[in-house]
Amino acid sequence: MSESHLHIESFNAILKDCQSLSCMARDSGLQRDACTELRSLLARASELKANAVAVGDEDSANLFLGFECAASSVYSELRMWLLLKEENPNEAWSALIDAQMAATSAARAHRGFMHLLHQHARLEAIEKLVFPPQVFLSAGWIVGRQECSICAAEYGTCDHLVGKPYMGRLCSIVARELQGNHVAIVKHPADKKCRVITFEVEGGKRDRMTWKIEPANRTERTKDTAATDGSATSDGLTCEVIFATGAGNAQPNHPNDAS
Amino acid sequence: MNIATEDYVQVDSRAAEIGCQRPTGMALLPENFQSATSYAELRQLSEAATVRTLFRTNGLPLCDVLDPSKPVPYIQNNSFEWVGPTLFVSSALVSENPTVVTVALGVLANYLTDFLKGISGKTEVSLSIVVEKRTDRTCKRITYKGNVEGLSSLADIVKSTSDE
Repeated sequence: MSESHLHIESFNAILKDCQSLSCMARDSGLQRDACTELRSLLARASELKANAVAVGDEDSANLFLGFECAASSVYSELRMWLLLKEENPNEAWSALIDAQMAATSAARAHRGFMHLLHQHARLEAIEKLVFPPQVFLSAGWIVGRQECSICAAEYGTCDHLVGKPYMGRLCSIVARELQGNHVAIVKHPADKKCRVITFEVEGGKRDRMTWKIEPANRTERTKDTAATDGSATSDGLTCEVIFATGAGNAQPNHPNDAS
Repeated sequence: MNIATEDYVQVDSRAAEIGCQRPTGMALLPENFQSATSYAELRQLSEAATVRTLFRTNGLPLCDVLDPSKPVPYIQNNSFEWVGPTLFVSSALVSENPTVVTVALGVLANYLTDFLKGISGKTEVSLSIVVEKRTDRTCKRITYKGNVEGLSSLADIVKSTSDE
């Protein structure tokens, strides 16, 4: 058996073990240990990817990219469960979306990860069963120039295509000369992290995830101050949102970068 | 799957009006081609660049409607579904090379099948095709919204619309 096959078998075994801990009831200590194991898997996969790139072996480079994404997906899901147990559902939501995006990227990276379609379906089910319904936003942009993330040429003039893997990297569009055009409330956004996080209610701001009301900060404008400075606000019309300024298909979060 | 057909501005004369090049074969039209009052107002969908690359690398010739020396900004709508640009098919192309639309739709469907890999649940794509009629060169827009597999059904509709 070749060295590469040994790595693949070892990675698959680690991923399978860590996935068995991906549910609420599992011990948090074991889940943290699994996160450490996945970080180390990710570092090894990155190293092997770099070796494959160095010798021009594109299929292996894409395979190890797939392992990076798969490890990232399982890692993010474990983080989600840990964060939920720590009563931090907003961060847990972000981890869930990272896990979904990484599962999609793994399937795009290499044909060997098509089975992650089931992982994605599972994560979608968790989204609906574990979290309350969210209000999503989609930002529209006018972009002066689209740059290819692989070769930095004007996207559309090179031969690279968004979502395809090239020597261990997924192609995406880097938007240049951005101008905001509109923000719309949508049912199916490209990025589910773009959502309404709080909205104004009597006495403060309600967190859409926890449903708790945080008292209005003294430094924030309230209805009273708005009345004195002449601007108008009304109940329920002020909200805080997160929306992305990126475009194309971002690479999944590297677990080592996760806080 | 949802397919709708409606009247569209005559592409040849509209191109001349706003300073675009007249397409003679297959081309990608800017998103606001019907409504823009000048060339400077034109906008194209981000995905137009992807389709341009796909067709070029598969040997499918695309006519330039836009002046390469005057870049037209892109619209990026970060929605979940894949929304393709408006494809124009001239009457001459349908007469001379009737299979080209089938091939083009096949190339697009292959790419989208890969692109949507790993996404579970309902994945929809949208695409508009403006067809020039052989008899009087007026145009109709066919708008498709549905799954990737359904894209191939558009080829026959393009042919029959062109022959109307």
